[in-house]
Amino acid sequence: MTCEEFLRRLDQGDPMVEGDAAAHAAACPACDRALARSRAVANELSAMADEPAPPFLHARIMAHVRAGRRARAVRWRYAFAAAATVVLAVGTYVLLRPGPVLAPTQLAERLTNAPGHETAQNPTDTRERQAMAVGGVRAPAPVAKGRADKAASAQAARHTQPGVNTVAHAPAAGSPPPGETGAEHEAAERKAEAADEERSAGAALATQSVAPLVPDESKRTTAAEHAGANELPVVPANALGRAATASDSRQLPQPAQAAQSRAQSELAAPDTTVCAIRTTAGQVVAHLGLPTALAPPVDGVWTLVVARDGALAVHDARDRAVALDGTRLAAALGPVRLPPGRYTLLIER
Amino acid sequence: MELLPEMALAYADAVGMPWRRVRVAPPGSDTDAPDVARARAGDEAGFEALVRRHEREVYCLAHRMLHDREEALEAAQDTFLRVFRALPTFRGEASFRTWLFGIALNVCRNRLARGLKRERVTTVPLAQEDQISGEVVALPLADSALDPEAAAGRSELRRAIAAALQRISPEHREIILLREVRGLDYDALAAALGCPAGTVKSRLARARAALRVTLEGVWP
Repeated sequence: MTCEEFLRRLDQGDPMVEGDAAAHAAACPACDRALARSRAVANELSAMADEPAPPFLHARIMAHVRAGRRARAVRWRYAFAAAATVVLAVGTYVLLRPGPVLAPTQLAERLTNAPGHETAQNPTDTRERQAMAVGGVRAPAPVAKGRADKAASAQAARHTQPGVNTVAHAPAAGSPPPGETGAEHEAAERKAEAADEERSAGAALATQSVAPLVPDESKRTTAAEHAGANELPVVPANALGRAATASDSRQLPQPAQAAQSRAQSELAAPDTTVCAIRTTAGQVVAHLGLPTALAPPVDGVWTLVVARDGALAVHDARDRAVALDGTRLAAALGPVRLPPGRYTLLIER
Repeated sequence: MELLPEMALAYADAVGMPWRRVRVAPPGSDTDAPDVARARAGDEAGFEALVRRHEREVYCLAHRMLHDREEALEAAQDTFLRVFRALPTFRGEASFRTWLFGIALNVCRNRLARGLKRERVTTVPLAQEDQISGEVVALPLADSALDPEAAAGRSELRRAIAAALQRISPEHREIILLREVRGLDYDALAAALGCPAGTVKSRLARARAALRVTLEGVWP
Protein backbone atom coordinates (compact mmCIF):
# COMPACT_ATOMS: atom_id res chain seq x y z
CA MET A 1 0.00 0.00 0.00
CA THR A 2 1.32 3.42 -0.90
CA CYS A 3 1.05 6.53 1.27
CA GLU A 4 -1.38 8.13 -1.22
CA GLU A 5 -3.64 5.10 -1.10
CA PHE A 6 -3.42 5.09 2.69
CA LEU A 7 -4.46 8.72 2.92
CA ARG A 8 -7.26 8.20 0.40
CA ARG A 9 -8.67 5.37 2.48
CA LEU A 10 -8.25 7.49 5.58
CA ASP A 11 -10.31 10.24 4.01
CA GLN A 12 -12.96 7.72 3.01
CA GLY A 13 -13.44 6.89 6.67
CA ASP A 14 -11.65 3.58 6.83
CA PRO A 15 -10.60 2.91 10.46
CA MET A 16 -7.30 1.40 9.22
CA VAL A 17 -7.09 -0.84 12.25
CA GLU A 18 -6.37 -4.08 10.45
CA GLY A 19 -4.97 -5.58 7.29
CA ASP A 20 -2.45 -3.93 5.00
CA ALA A 21 -3.46 -0.45 6.20
CA ALA A 22 -2.41 -1.27 9.73
CA ALA A 23 0.82 -2.78 8.42
CA HIS A 24 1.53 0.33 6.35
CA ALA A 25 0.87 2.62 9.32
CA ALA A 26 3.24 0.56 11.43
CA ALA A 27 5.94 0.85 8.78
CA CYS A 28 5.41 4.50 7.71
CA PRO A 29 5.82 7.16 10.47
CA ALA A 30 4.20 9.90 8.34
CA CYS A 31 1.09 7.83 7.69
CA ASP A 32 1.01 6.70 11.30
CA ARG A 33 1.06 10.33 12.37
CA ALA A 34 -1.68 11.17 9.88
CA LEU A 35 -3.77 8.31 11.28
CA ALA A 36 -3.27 9.56 14.84
CA ARG A 37 -4.22 13.11 13.86
CA SER A 38 -7.31 11.86 12.07
CA ARG A 39 -8.45 9.98 15.16
CA ALA A 40 -7.85 13.02 17.34
CA VAL A 41 -9.74 15.26 14.94
CA ALA A 42 -12.64 12.81 14.75
CA ASN A 43 -12.85 12.69 18.56
CA GLU A 44 -12.74 16.45 18.80
CA LEU A 45 -15.41 16.86 16.15
CA SER A 46 -17.65 14.40 17.97
CA ALA A 47 -17.17 16.37 21.15
CA MET A 48 -18.37 19.50 19.37
CA ALA A 49 -21.88 18.04 19.47
CA ASP A 50 -22.01 18.85 23.16
CA GLU A 51 -21.32 22.54 22.76
CA PRO A 52 -23.54 24.78 24.84
CA ALA A 53 -26.09 27.18 23.47
CA PRO A 54 -27.11 30.54 24.92
CA PRO A 55 -29.62 30.11 27.73
CA PHE A 56 -32.02 32.56 26.11
CA LEU A 57 -32.01 30.68 22.82
CA HIS A 58 -35.35 28.96 23.35
CA ALA A 59 -37.17 32.11 24.42
CA ARG A 60 -35.71 34.04 21.51
CA ILE A 61 -36.65 31.41 18.96
CA MET A 62 -40.21 31.09 20.24
CA ALA A 63 -40.62 34.86 20.37
CA HIS A 64 -39.43 35.07 16.77
CA VAL A 65 -41.78 32.31 15.67
CA ARG A 66 -44.73 33.89 17.45
CA ALA A 67 -43.93 37.28 15.96
CA GLY A 68 -43.70 35.72 12.52
CA ARG A 69 -47.00 33.98 13.07
CA ARG A 70 -48.67 37.21 14.11
CA ALA A 71 -47.17 39.08 11.18
CA ARG A 72 -48.44 36.41 8.86
CA ALA A 73 -51.90 36.62 10.36
CA VAL A 74 -51.88 40.37 9.89
CA ARG A 75 -50.75 39.96 6.28
CA TRP A 76 -53.62 37.53 5.70
CA ARG A 77 -56.00 40.00 7.28
CA TYR A 78 -54.83 42.76 4.96
CA ALA A 79 -55.02 40.42 1.99
CA PHE A 80 -58.56 39.46 2.95
CA ALA A 81 -59.54 43.10 3.33
CA ALA A 82 -58.03 43.91 -0.06
CA ALA A 83 -59.85 41.00 -1.67
CA ALA A 84 -63.11 42.06 -0.06
CA THR A 85 -62.59 45.58 -1.35
CA VAL A 86 -62.02 44.30 -4.86
CA VAL A 87 -65.13 42.13 -4.68
CA LEU A 88 -67.17 45.07 -3.42
CA ALA A 89 -65.79 47.31 -6.14
CA VAL A 90 -66.57 44.78 -8.85
CA GLY A 91 -70.01 44.16 -7.41
CA THR A 92 -70.71 47.86 -7.28
CA TYR A 93 -69.58 48.23 -10.86
CA VAL A 94 -71.79 45.37 -11.96
CA LEU A 95 -74.78 46.97 -10.29
CA LEU A 96 -74.03 50.47 -11.49
CA ARG A 97 -72.63 49.73 -14.90
CA PRO A 98 -74.06 51.62 -17.84
CA GLY A 99 -76.81 50.45 -20.11
CA PRO A 100 -80.59 50.33 -20.23
CA VAL A 101 -80.80 47.41 -17.89
CA LEU A 102 -83.26 46.46 -15.25
CA ALA A 103 -82.15 47.46 -11.81
CA PRO A 104 -82.00 44.51 -9.40
CA THR A 105 -84.54 46.06 -7.10
CA GLN A 106 -86.87 46.57 -10.04
CA LEU A 107 -86.45 42.94 -10.91
CA ALA A 108 -87.19 42.07 -7.31
CA GLU A 109 -90.22 44.27 -7.48
CA ARG A 110 -91.45 42.51 -10.57
CA LEU A 111 -91.04 39.11 -9.03
CA THR A 112 -92.57 40.06 -5.73
CA ASN A 113 -95.74 41.63 -7.09
CA ALA A 114 -98.57 39.51 -8.37
CA PRO A 115 -99.89 40.33 -11.83
CA GLY A 116 -102.78 42.70 -11.87
CA HIS A 117 -102.07 44.18 -8.50
CA GLU A 118 -100.75 47.34 -10.02
CA THR A 119 -103.97 48.17 -11.80
CA ALA A 120 -105.73 48.48 -8.48
CA GLN A 121 -102.99 50.47 -6.85
CA ASN A 122 -102.69 54.14 -6.45
CA PRO A 123 -100.46 55.59 -9.19
CA THR A 124 -98.75 57.69 -6.57
CA ASP A 125 -97.64 54.51 -4.79
CA THR A 126 -96.27 53.12 -8.04
CA ARG A 127 -94.27 56.27 -8.61
CA GLU A 128 -92.84 56.11 -5.13
CA ARG A 129 -92.00 52.45 -5.48
CA GLN A 130 -90.28 52.98 -8.80
CA ALA A 131 -88.39 55.94 -7.47
CA MET A 132 -87.22 53.84 -4.55
CA ALA A 133 -86.28 50.97 -6.81
CA VAL A 134 -84.26 53.13 -9.16
CA GLY A 135 -82.80 55.33 -6.50
CA GLY A 136 -81.84 52.35 -4.39
CA VAL A 137 -79.47 51.12 -7.06
CA ARG A 138 -78.41 54.23 -8.84
CA ALA A 139 -78.02 56.73 -6.07
CA PRO A 140 -74.50 56.65 -4.70
CA ALA A 141 -74.22 60.44 -4.85
CA PRO A 142 -76.61 63.34 -4.39
CA VAL A 143 -76.45 64.24 -8.06
CA ALA A 144 -77.20 60.71 -9.09
CA LYS A 145 -80.04 60.61 -6.64
CA GLY A 146 -81.49 63.72 -8.22
CA ARG A 147 -81.22 62.12 -11.60
CA ALA A 148 -82.84 59.01 -10.25
CA ASP A 149 -85.73 61.01 -8.85
CA LYS A 150 -86.13 62.77 -12.17
CA ALA A 151 -86.06 59.48 -14.05
CA ALA A 152 -88.59 57.97 -11.72
CA SER A 153 -90.82 60.97 -12.11
CA ALA A 154 -90.49 60.84 -15.88
CA GLN A 155 -91.33 57.17 -15.87
CA ALA A 156 -94.27 57.70 -13.60
CA ALA A 157 -95.47 60.47 -15.89
CA ARG A 158 -95.14 58.23 -18.93
CA HIS A 159 -97.18 55.56 -17.22
CA THR A 160 -100.06 57.96 -17.18
CA GLN A 161 -100.02 58.34 -20.97
CA PRO A 162 -102.25 55.95 -22.90
CA GLY A 163 -100.39 53.62 -25.24
CA VAL A 164 -96.93 54.33 -23.87
CA ASN A 165 -96.93 51.92 -20.96
CA THR A 166 -94.30 49.29 -21.20
CA VAL A 167 -94.25 48.06 -17.66
CA ALA A 168 -96.41 45.17 -16.60
CA HIS A 169 -97.23 46.62 -13.22
CA ALA A 170 -98.00 50.10 -14.52
CA PRO A 171 -101.26 51.59 -13.37
CA ALA A 172 -104.30 51.77 -15.65
CA ALA A 173 -103.68 54.39 -18.31
CA GLY A 174 -104.77 57.85 -17.27
CA SER A 175 -106.74 56.70 -14.28
CA PRO A 176 -107.02 59.61 -11.89
CA PRO A 177 -106.16 59.20 -8.24
CA PRO A 178 -109.09 58.96 -5.86
CA GLY A 179 -110.54 62.35 -5.10
CA GLU A 180 -109.52 63.96 -8.41
CA THR A 181 -111.66 64.62 -11.42
CA GLY A 182 -110.43 63.64 -14.88
CA ALA A 183 -109.82 67.25 -15.98
CA GLU A 184 -107.91 68.05 -12.82
CA HIS A 185 -105.85 64.92 -13.25
CA GLU A 186 -104.93 65.76 -16.85
CA ALA A 187 -103.90 69.27 -15.86
CA ALA A 188 -101.76 67.89 -13.07
CA GLU A 189 -100.13 65.46 -15.49
CA ARG A 190 -99.27 68.19 -17.97
CA LYS A 191 -97.81 70.21 -15.13
CA ALA A 192 -95.74 67.25 -13.98
CA GLU A 193 -94.45 66.61 -17.51
CA ALA A 194 -93.30 70.21 -17.85
CA ALA A 195 -91.60 70.04 -14.49
CA ASP A 196 -89.96 66.77 -15.48
CA GLU A 197 -88.53 68.30 -18.63
CA GLU A 198 -87.18 71.20 -16.63
CA ARG A 199 -85.61 68.87 -14.15
CA SER A 200 -84.15 66.76 -16.98
CA ALA A 201 -82.32 69.77 -18.37
CA GLY A 202 -81.10 70.69 -14.90
CA ALA A 203 -79.93 67.14 -14.26
CA ALA A 204 -77.98 67.09 -17.51
CA LEU A 205 -76.20 70.26 -16.47
CA ALA A 206 -75.55 68.81 -13.04
CA THR A 207 -74.09 65.68 -14.57
CA GLN A 208 -71.81 67.80 -16.71
CA SER A 209 -70.51 69.52 -13.64
CA VAL A 210 -69.84 66.20 -11.91
CA ALA A 211 -68.27 64.45 -14.87
CA PRO A 212 -66.63 67.10 -17.01
CA LEU A 213 -64.57 64.51 -18.88
CA VAL A 214 -67.67 62.95 -20.44
CA PRO A 215 -70.03 65.81 -21.03
CA ASP A 216 -71.64 64.34 -24.14
CA GLU A 217 -72.62 61.15 -22.43
CA SER A 218 -74.46 62.86 -19.64
CA LYS A 219 -76.30 64.96 -22.19
CA ARG A 220 -77.24 62.06 -24.38
CA THR A 221 -78.52 59.78 -21.69
CA THR A 222 -81.31 61.67 -20.11
CA ALA A 223 -84.59 60.27 -19.01
CA ALA A 224 -86.34 62.23 -21.71
CA GLU A 225 -84.52 60.22 -24.36
CA HIS A 226 -85.30 57.00 -22.59
CA ALA A 227 -88.91 57.97 -22.40
CA GLY A 228 -89.19 57.66 -26.15
CA ALA A 229 -87.17 54.47 -26.43
CA ASN A 230 -89.92 52.15 -25.27
CA GLU A 231 -87.65 50.84 -22.56
CA LEU A 232 -87.80 50.89 -18.84
CA PRO A 233 -86.29 54.25 -18.03
CA VAL A 234 -83.61 53.41 -15.58
CA VAL A 235 -81.33 56.19 -14.50
CA PRO A 236 -79.89 58.05 -17.48
CA ALA A 237 -76.33 57.05 -18.17
CA ASN A 238 -75.04 55.82 -14.87
CA ALA A 239 -74.29 57.38 -11.61
CA LEU A 240 -70.56 57.41 -12.29
CA GLY A 241 -70.97 59.48 -15.44
CA ARG A 242 -69.62 56.84 -17.80
CA ALA A 243 -70.98 55.63 -21.14
CA ALA A 244 -74.43 54.17 -20.94
CA THR A 245 -76.18 53.16 -24.14
CA ALA A 246 -75.28 51.37 -27.31
CA SER A 247 -75.30 54.65 -29.19
CA ASP A 248 -72.86 56.02 -26.64
CA SER A 249 -70.62 53.05 -27.18
CA ARG A 250 -70.61 53.64 -30.90
CA GLN A 251 -69.33 57.14 -30.32
CA LEU A 252 -66.52 56.04 -28.08
CA PRO A 253 -63.04 55.62 -29.51
CA GLN A 254 -62.37 52.08 -30.68
CA PRO A 255 -59.97 51.08 -27.87
CA ALA A 256 -62.37 52.42 -25.29
CA GLN A 257 -65.24 50.55 -26.94
CA ALA A 258 -63.25 47.35 -26.93
CA ALA A 259 -62.25 47.79 -23.32
CA GLN A 260 -65.80 48.54 -22.36
CA SER A 261 -67.26 45.56 -24.16
CA ARG A 262 -64.54 43.32 -22.78
CA ALA A 263 -65.19 44.54 -19.25
CA GLN A 264 -68.91 44.07 -19.69
CA SER A 265 -68.56 40.60 -21.08
CA GLU A 266 -66.19 39.62 -18.32
CA LEU A 267 -68.23 41.10 -15.53
CA ALA A 268 -71.52 39.90 -16.87
CA ALA A 269 -70.54 36.32 -17.47
CA PRO A 270 -73.40 33.92 -16.91
CA ASP A 271 -71.68 32.56 -13.85
CA THR A 272 -71.78 35.94 -12.18
CA THR A 273 -74.42 36.27 -9.52
CA VAL A 274 -75.84 39.71 -10.04
CA CYS A 275 -78.08 40.02 -7.05
CA ALA A 276 -80.34 38.16 -4.65
CA ILE A 277 -84.10 38.68 -4.77
CA ARG A 278 -86.42 37.96 -1.89
CA THR A 279 -89.72 36.57 -3.05
CA THR A 280 -92.33 34.00 -2.13
CA ALA A 281 -93.25 30.66 -3.61
CA GLY A 282 -96.69 31.94 -4.62
CA GLN A 283 -95.27 34.87 -6.50
CA VAL A 284 -92.74 32.72 -8.29
CA VAL A 285 -95.52 30.34 -9.30
CA ALA A 286 -97.67 33.21 -10.47
CA HIS A 287 -94.94 34.97 -12.44
CA LEU A 288 -93.23 32.00 -13.95
CA GLY A 289 -96.38 30.15 -14.89
CA LEU A 290 -95.41 27.08 -12.91
CA PRO A 291 -97.80 24.33 -11.89
CA THR A 292 -98.44 24.50 -8.18
CA ALA A 293 -96.76 21.12 -7.76
CA LEU A 294 -93.52 22.67 -8.93
CA ALA A 295 -93.64 25.56 -6.49
CA PRO A 296 -90.28 26.22 -4.88
CA PRO A 297 -89.93 25.22 -1.24
CA VAL A 298 -90.03 27.86 1.41
CA ASP A 299 -86.50 28.88 2.46
CA GLY A 300 -85.26 27.36 -0.79
CA VAL A 301 -82.89 29.09 -3.17
CA TRP A 302 -83.64 29.15 -6.87
CA THR A 303 -81.75 30.89 -9.59
CA LEU A 304 -82.87 32.95 -12.53
CA VAL A 305 -80.27 32.51 -15.25
CA VAL A 306 -79.95 35.04 -18.04
CA ALA A 307 -77.73 33.83 -20.85
CA ARG A 308 -75.60 36.13 -22.94
CA ASP A 309 -78.14 35.95 -25.75
CA GLY A 310 -80.88 36.99 -23.35
CA ALA A 311 -82.42 33.55 -22.99
CA LEU A 312 -84.08 33.06 -19.63
CA ALA A 313 -84.08 29.96 -17.48
CA VAL A 314 -84.91 29.15 -13.90
CA HIS A 315 -82.91 26.58 -11.95
CA ASP A 316 -83.97 24.95 -8.72
CA ALA A 317 -81.81 24.46 -5.64
CA ARG A 318 -80.04 21.53 -7.28
CA ASP A 319 -79.31 23.67 -10.32
CA ARG A 320 -81.74 21.74 -12.50
CA ALA A 321 -83.66 23.72 -15.07
CA VAL A 322 -87.30 24.16 -14.11
CA ALA A 323 -89.83 23.68 -16.91
CA LEU A 324 -91.60 26.98 -17.21
CA ASP A 325 -93.76 28.98 -19.50
CA GLY A 326 -91.20 31.13 -21.25
CA THR A 327 -93.78 33.46 -22.69
CA ARG A 328 -95.18 34.16 -19.28
CA LEU A 329 -91.76 34.79 -17.82
CA ALA A 330 -90.88 37.12 -20.67
CA ALA A 331 -94.15 38.92 -20.17
CA ALA A 332 -93.49 39.21 -16.47
CA LEU A 333 -90.13 40.78 -17.10
CA GLY A 334 -91.52 43.11 -19.73
CA PRO A 335 -89.54 44.52 -22.64
CA VAL A 336 -86.46 45.10 -20.53
CA ARG A 337 -83.14 43.46 -21.01
CA LEU A 338 -81.61 41.86 -17.99
CA PRO A 339 -77.84 41.78 -17.85
CA PRO A 340 -76.52 38.26 -18.31
CA GLY A 341 -75.83 36.49 -15.08
CA ARG A 342 -77.45 34.59 -12.28
CA TYR A 343 -80.11 36.08 -10.01
CA THR A 344 -80.57 34.26 -6.75
CA LEU A 345 -84.19 33.92 -5.72
CA LEU A 346 -84.54 33.56 -1.96
CA ILE A 347 -87.91 31.94 -1.40
CA GLU A 348 -89.56 33.24 1.77
CA ARG A 349 -92.90 32.68 3.40
CA MET B 1 -28.29 -1.94 18.46
CA GLU B 2 -29.40 1.63 19.05
CA LEU B 3 -27.38 3.51 21.62
CA LEU B 4 -27.98 6.80 23.26
CA PRO B 5 -25.28 9.33 22.33
CA GLU B 6 -23.71 9.32 25.77
CA MET B 7 -23.58 5.53 25.86
CA ALA B 8 -22.17 5.43 22.36
CA LEU B 9 -19.43 7.87 23.19
CA ALA B 10 -18.56 5.98 26.36
CA TYR B 11 -18.49 2.73 24.43
CA ALA B 12 -16.28 4.26 21.74
CA ASP B 13 -13.89 5.58 24.36
CA ALA B 14 -13.80 2.25 26.14
CA VAL B 15 -12.97 0.17 23.09
CA GLY B 16 -10.73 2.83 21.55
CA MET B 17 -12.64 3.07 18.30
CA PRO B 18 -10.74 5.49 16.11
CA TRP B 19 -13.69 7.11 14.30
CA ARG B 20 -16.39 6.44 16.80
CA ARG B 21 -18.35 4.68 14.13
CA VAL B 22 -20.95 3.58 16.59
CA ARG B 23 -24.44 3.82 15.30
CA VAL B 24 -25.99 6.47 17.38
CA ALA B 25 -29.68 6.97 17.53
CA PRO B 26 -30.30 10.56 16.44
CA PRO B 27 -31.78 12.53 19.28
CA GLY B 28 -35.51 12.66 19.10
CA SER B 29 -35.82 10.19 16.25
CA ASP B 30 -38.41 8.20 18.14
CA THR B 31 -40.10 11.05 19.90
CA ASP B 32 -40.43 13.62 17.12
CA ALA B 33 -43.37 12.05 15.34
CA PRO B 34 -46.07 12.80 17.94
CA ASP B 35 -44.87 16.36 18.39
CA VAL B 36 -44.70 16.84 14.64
CA ALA B 37 -48.28 15.65 14.35
CA ARG B 38 -49.37 18.00 17.13
CA ALA B 39 -47.51 20.91 15.60
CA ARG B 40 -49.03 20.20 12.19
CA ALA B 41 -52.44 20.30 13.81
CA GLY B 42 -51.67 23.81 15.03
CA ASP B 43 -50.68 22.91 18.59
CA GLU B 44 -48.00 25.37 19.60
CA ALA B 45 -46.94 23.21 22.54
CA GLY B 46 -46.03 20.43 20.12
CA PHE B 47 -43.91 22.80 18.09
CA GLU B 48 -42.29 24.17 21.22
CA ALA B 49 -41.31 20.64 22.23
CA LEU B 50 -39.60 20.21 18.86
CA VAL B 51 -37.80 23.49 19.29
CA ARG B 52 -36.64 22.56 22.77
CA ARG B 53 -35.33 19.23 21.52
CA HIS B 54 -33.42 20.49 18.50
CA GLU B 55 -32.62 24.14 19.10
CA ARG B 56 -29.16 23.54 20.51
CA GLU B 57 -27.89 21.42 17.65
CA VAL B 58 -29.39 23.80 15.09
CA TYR B 59 -27.71 26.72 16.81
CA CYS B 60 -24.38 24.88 17.04
CA LEU B 61 -24.56 23.87 13.38
CA ALA B 62 -25.30 27.46 12.40
CA HIS B 63 -22.53 28.73 14.65
CA ARG B 64 -20.01 26.43 13.06
CA MET B 65 -21.25 27.26 9.59
CA LEU B 66 -21.37 31.01 10.06
CA HIS B 67 -18.70 31.44 12.73
CA ASP B 68 -20.66 34.31 14.23
CA ARG B 69 -22.75 34.05 17.35
CA GLU B 70 -25.36 36.65 16.47
CA GLU B 71 -25.68 35.32 12.93
CA ALA B 72 -26.09 31.84 14.34
CA LEU B 73 -28.86 33.03 16.66
CA GLU B 74 -30.70 34.67 13.78
CA ALA B 75 -30.17 31.63 11.59
CA ALA B 76 -31.61 29.38 14.29
CA GLN B 77 -34.62 31.69 14.61
CA ASP B 78 -35.16 31.77 10.87
CA THR B 79 -34.78 28.03 10.67
CA PHE B 80 -37.51 27.34 13.18
CA LEU B 81 -39.77 29.99 11.70
CA ARG B 82 -39.40 28.33 8.31
CA VAL B 83 -40.01 24.95 9.88
CA PHE B 84 -43.15 26.27 11.51
CA ARG B 85 -44.43 27.58 8.20
CA ALA B 86 -43.40 24.53 6.20
CA LEU B 87 -44.63 21.90 8.64
CA PRO B 88 -47.89 21.38 6.71
CA THR B 89 -45.80 20.37 3.69
CA PHE B 90 -43.57 17.98 5.66
CA ARG B 91 -44.23 14.59 4.13
CA GLY B 92 -42.16 12.53 6.53
CA GLU B 93 -40.04 10.90 3.82
CA ALA B 94 -36.96 11.73 5.88
CA SER B 95 -36.89 12.10 9.63
CA PHE B 96 -37.89 15.43 11.07
CA ARG B 97 -34.33 15.97 12.28
CA THR B 98 -32.89 15.42 8.82
CA TRP B 99 -35.48 17.74 7.31
CA LEU B 100 -34.67 20.30 9.99
CA PHE B 101 -30.96 20.14 9.20
CA GLY B 102 -31.73 20.59 5.52
CA ILE B 103 -33.64 23.78 6.27
CA ALA B 104 -30.95 25.00 8.66
CA LEU B 105 -28.31 24.47 5.99
CA ASN B 106 -30.37 26.41 3.46
CA VAL B 107 -30.71 29.28 5.90
CA CYS B 108 -26.96 29.25 6.53
CA ARG B 109 -26.19 29.10 2.82
CA ASN B 110 -28.46 32.06 2.17
CA ARG B 111 -26.78 34.04 4.89
CA LEU B 112 -23.36 33.17 3.56
CA ALA B 113 -24.43 34.11 0.06
CA ARG B 114 -25.86 37.42 1.25
CA GLY B 115 -22.45 38.25 2.58
CA LEU B 116 -21.63 37.40 6.08
CA LYS B 117 -18.71 39.74 5.74
CA ARG B 118 -20.89 42.81 6.00
CA GLU B 119 -19.70 44.97 8.79
CA ARG B 120 -21.69 44.75 11.93
CA VAL B 121 -21.68 48.20 13.54
CA THR B 122 -22.34 47.67 17.18
CA THR B 123 -21.28 49.59 20.22
CA VAL B 124 -20.30 47.59 23.23
CA PRO B 125 -19.73 49.57 26.41
CA LEU B 126 -16.70 48.36 28.24
CA ALA B 127 -17.39 50.33 31.41
CA GLN B 128 -20.23 52.13 33.08
CA GLU B 129 -20.75 54.48 36.00
CA ASP B 130 -21.81 52.84 39.22
CA GLN B 131 -25.20 54.24 40.20
CA ILE B 132 -24.40 54.32 43.90
CA SER B 133 -20.76 55.16 44.26
CA GLY B 134 -20.45 57.09 41.02
CA GLU B 135 -17.26 55.26 40.14
CA VAL B 136 -16.64 54.00 36.68
CA VAL B 137 -16.43 50.25 36.83
CA ALA B 138 -15.45 47.84 34.12
CA LEU B 139 -18.17 45.64 32.73
CA PRO B 140 -17.55 41.93 32.58
CA LEU B 141 -16.53 40.79 29.16
CA ALA B 142 -18.70 38.52 27.09
CA ASP B 143 -20.02 35.48 28.86
CA SER B 144 -17.39 32.87 28.26
CA ALA B 145 -20.02 30.17 28.55
CA LEU B 146 -21.35 31.28 25.16
CA ASP B 147 -18.02 30.73 23.48
CA PRO B 148 -17.77 26.99 22.75
CA GLU B 149 -14.03 26.88 22.86
CA ALA B 150 -13.71 28.96 26.01
CA ALA B 151 -16.59 27.23 27.77
CA ALA B 152 -15.15 23.79 27.31
CA GLY B 153 -11.64 24.88 28.04
CA ARG B 154 -10.79 23.00 24.95
CA SER B 155 -7.43 22.14 23.71
CA GLU B 156 -5.49 23.83 21.07
CA LEU B 157 -6.69 21.15 18.72
CA ARG B 158 -10.28 22.29 18.99
CA ARG B 159 -9.33 25.85 18.23
CA ALA B 160 -7.32 24.60 15.28
CA ILE B 161 -10.25 22.57 14.04
CA ALA B 162 -12.58 25.55 14.42
CA ALA B 163 -10.18 27.69 12.44
CA ALA B 164 -9.73 25.02 9.78
CA LEU B 165 -13.47 24.60 9.42
CA GLN B 166 -13.73 28.27 8.56
CA ARG B 167 -11.08 27.94 5.90
CA ILE B 168 -12.56 25.07 3.97
CA SER B 169 -15.45 25.67 1.62
CA PRO B 170 -19.00 25.89 3.03
CA GLU B 171 -19.91 22.81 1.01
CA HIS B 172 -17.17 20.78 2.74
CA ARG B 173 -17.86 22.38 6.09
CA GLU B 174 -21.51 21.46 6.13
CA ILE B 175 -20.96 17.83 5.27
CA ILE B 176 -18.22 17.50 7.89
CA LEU B 177 -20.45 19.06 10.53
CA LEU B 178 -23.42 16.88 9.68
CA ARG B 179 -21.42 13.68 9.49
CA GLU B 180 -18.70 14.03 12.10
CA VAL B 181 -20.45 16.29 14.59
CA ARG B 182 -24.13 15.41 14.17
CA GLY B 183 -23.61 11.80 13.19
CA LEU B 184 -25.98 11.66 10.23
CA ASP B 185 -25.73 8.52 8.12
CA TYR B 186 -25.31 8.59 4.36
CA ASP B 187 -29.04 8.43 3.61
CA ALA B 188 -29.80 11.24 5.98
CA LEU B 189 -26.91 13.23 4.57
CA ALA B 190 -28.27 12.73 1.08
CA ALA B 191 -31.69 13.91 2.20
CA ALA B 192 -30.37 16.90 4.11
CA LEU B 193 -27.97 17.99 1.38
CA GLY B 194 -30.31 17.14 -1.47
CA CYS B 195 -27.88 15.00 -3.40
CA PRO B 196 -27.46 11.28 -4.18
CA ALA B 197 -25.76 8.97 -1.68
CA GLY B 198 -22.84 8.40 -4.07
CA THR B 199 -22.22 12.10 -4.22
CA VAL B 200 -22.32 12.23 -0.44
CA LYS B 201 -19.52 9.67 -0.14
CA SER B 202 -17.23 11.37 -2.61
CA ARG B 203 -17.96 14.82 -1.22
CA LEU B 204 -17.29 13.62 2.30
CA ALA B 205 -13.94 12.14 1.29
CA ARG B 206 -12.95 15.41 -0.39
CA ALA B 207 -14.09 17.35 2.66
CA ARG B 208 -12.00 15.21 5.02
CA ALA B 209 -9.00 15.61 2.76
CA ALA B 210 -9.51 19.37 2.68
CA LEU B 211 -9.82 19.51 6.46
CA ARG B 212 -6.73 17.35 6.92
CA VAL B 213 -4.64 19.48 4.59
CA THR B 214 -5.91 22.70 6.14
CA LEU B 215 -5.21 21.44 9.64
CA GLU B 216 -1.62 20.79 8.76
CA GLY B 217 -1.28 24.53 8.34
CA VAL B 218 -2.88 25.52 11.63
CA TRP B 219 -2.00 22.57 13.82
CA PRO B 220 1.49 21.43 13.02
